[in-house]
Amino acid sequence: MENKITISPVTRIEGHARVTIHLDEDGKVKNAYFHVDQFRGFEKFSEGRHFSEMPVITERICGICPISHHLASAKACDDILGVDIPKTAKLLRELIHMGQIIQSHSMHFFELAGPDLILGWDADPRIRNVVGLIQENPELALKAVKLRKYGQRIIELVAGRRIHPTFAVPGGVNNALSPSARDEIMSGIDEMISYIKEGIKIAEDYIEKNRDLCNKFASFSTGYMGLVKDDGSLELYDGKIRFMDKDGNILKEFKGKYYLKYIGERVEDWSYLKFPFYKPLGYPDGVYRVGPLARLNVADKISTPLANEEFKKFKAIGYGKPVEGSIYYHYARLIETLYALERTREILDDPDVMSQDVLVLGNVSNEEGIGVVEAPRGTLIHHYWVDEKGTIEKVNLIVSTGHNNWAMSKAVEEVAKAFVDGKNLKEGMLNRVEGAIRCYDPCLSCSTHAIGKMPIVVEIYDNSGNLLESVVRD
Amino acid sequence: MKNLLIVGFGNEFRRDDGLGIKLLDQINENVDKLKVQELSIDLVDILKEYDIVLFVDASIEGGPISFKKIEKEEKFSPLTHHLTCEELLFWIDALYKRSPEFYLLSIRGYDFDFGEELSEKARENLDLAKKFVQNFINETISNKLSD
Repeated sequence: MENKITISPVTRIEGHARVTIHLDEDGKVKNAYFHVDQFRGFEKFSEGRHFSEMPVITERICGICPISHHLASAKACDDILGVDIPKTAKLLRELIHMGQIIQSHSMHFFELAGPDLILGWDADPRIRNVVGLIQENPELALKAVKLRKYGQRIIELVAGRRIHPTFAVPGGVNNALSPSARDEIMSGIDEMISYIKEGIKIAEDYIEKNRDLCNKFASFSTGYMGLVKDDGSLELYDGKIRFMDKDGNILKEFKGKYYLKYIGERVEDWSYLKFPFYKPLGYPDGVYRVGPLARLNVADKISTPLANEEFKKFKAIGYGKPVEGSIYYHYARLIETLYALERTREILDDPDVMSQDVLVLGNVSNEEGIGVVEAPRGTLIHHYWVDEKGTIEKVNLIVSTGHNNWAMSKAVEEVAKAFVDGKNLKEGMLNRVEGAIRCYDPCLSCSTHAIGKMPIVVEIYDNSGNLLESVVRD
Repeated sequence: MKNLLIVGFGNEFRRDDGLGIKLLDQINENVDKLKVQELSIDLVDILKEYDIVLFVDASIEGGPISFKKIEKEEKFSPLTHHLTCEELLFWIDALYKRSPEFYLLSIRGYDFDFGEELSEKARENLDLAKKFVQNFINETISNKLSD
């Protein structure tokens, strides 16, 4: 073997973000911002390709939720063909989407959020992480691994490969479900439900003991947006977009294809990531949140029994109004994971899931195609414009982290004002600022479509604009 | 227990970032291979089954190819979903009480823009990496046979 040993960095980190905290003359926080300093590029990269390639191109945007991009893209392609895909194809697409939700949500809670909740905000940073989590509760850590693996296994069994499948194609999917795959997935559901219920119990205990903090931590008013079924229940794969104002009034329900009528995008000079807003209310009055908290806020109920019981407890937190505290994102994420597991069983119990009728063929019929799904982090919109041969002329992608851009910056500001003392800076203060961002589980490579070298830099400036402190977390 | 797994990771649509994936496509030896875009926690349940794991990734600096043995490390990235090889090794040791040998082969890349084509220099480095991995496989197999 060649005897050549050199230290070399690996490159895979999802994006490059920066938090700046600005102090007044008394050392108190005046403003704080969450900056995303990268650029968008996948839209340009896709121009000139054939539309049918898009489901396999766009899933490369993100290594964490490739399936969401794959499916939003396939739905946009269906729209270009002008076809209604077979029921079995819909079921199978939704099935891998549930796998996506399970793996992404469970990884976030146990790996990233769990240390804050289980070990505490001010715990020694050397143990306030997965290391501490493993030491505190190795069985729980193992269950987190199994949950993530189970979600990935659903994708692998149904779509043929764990990442970057070619499964969803314009007009449906390219493979029927095998009985052995169905049986394997089904055999694991009860165990996984027991694991996620354990996570929900952790979240509920935390909320119970820290009710005041949960209600105040990065709590602010915004609108909320998410998909719902026709009966108003939670929907993650295919439904109508519901927009709710800060008081809980449903302002509008519309099909995803009309998103441009209702969603505008604002550019700020301190971030490359755009700031979407609800057009009828303008900017900034129309800023809104997406993702687990938003979805549970806009939904009237959940269609599966166990998740719906948890949903009722969630709704009780807001006393009929939207739940505003950002920490509740974690709780909502776990409830959605429970729903995804129950929904997986429902799909597998549907006799149509084993049908071989999985694809309809068609020709380019429309110059535009729009696909919308609820990705783990929120509403994901793919919009393609094509010529008569189906060549992509223009692409617009609005990703979940983009929708939450304003909210993440607001969360950072709220928490910095509440906890950061510029004259007596402590590590736990900065951890709370990061924790505010963590609630939203941002995926910066997805939102900026670019490779970065470090996840976050926190910079603190005095009243004269001098940099007082810079903390790099990588 | 399985002997050797080669894990290639990266994004083929970010030009040289896909070096690890492209290398796996060129390895015809009869060995277990795994392609991923990022390293995440569920991998520990797969990696724990092997004696030796060779990770292959693109690098933004260093020589044409670089090779090192991975030591477990209690690192933590507070916002990212991506784990390092060192963290994965720590997880396996902590959860399964196993310590497979981990190695990282880094291939120097130069162009990480959107696209599928490798830069010219990266292609040259890929050839070097391919020979290195073939030697690594042969040596691992011969070591196993002599055990």
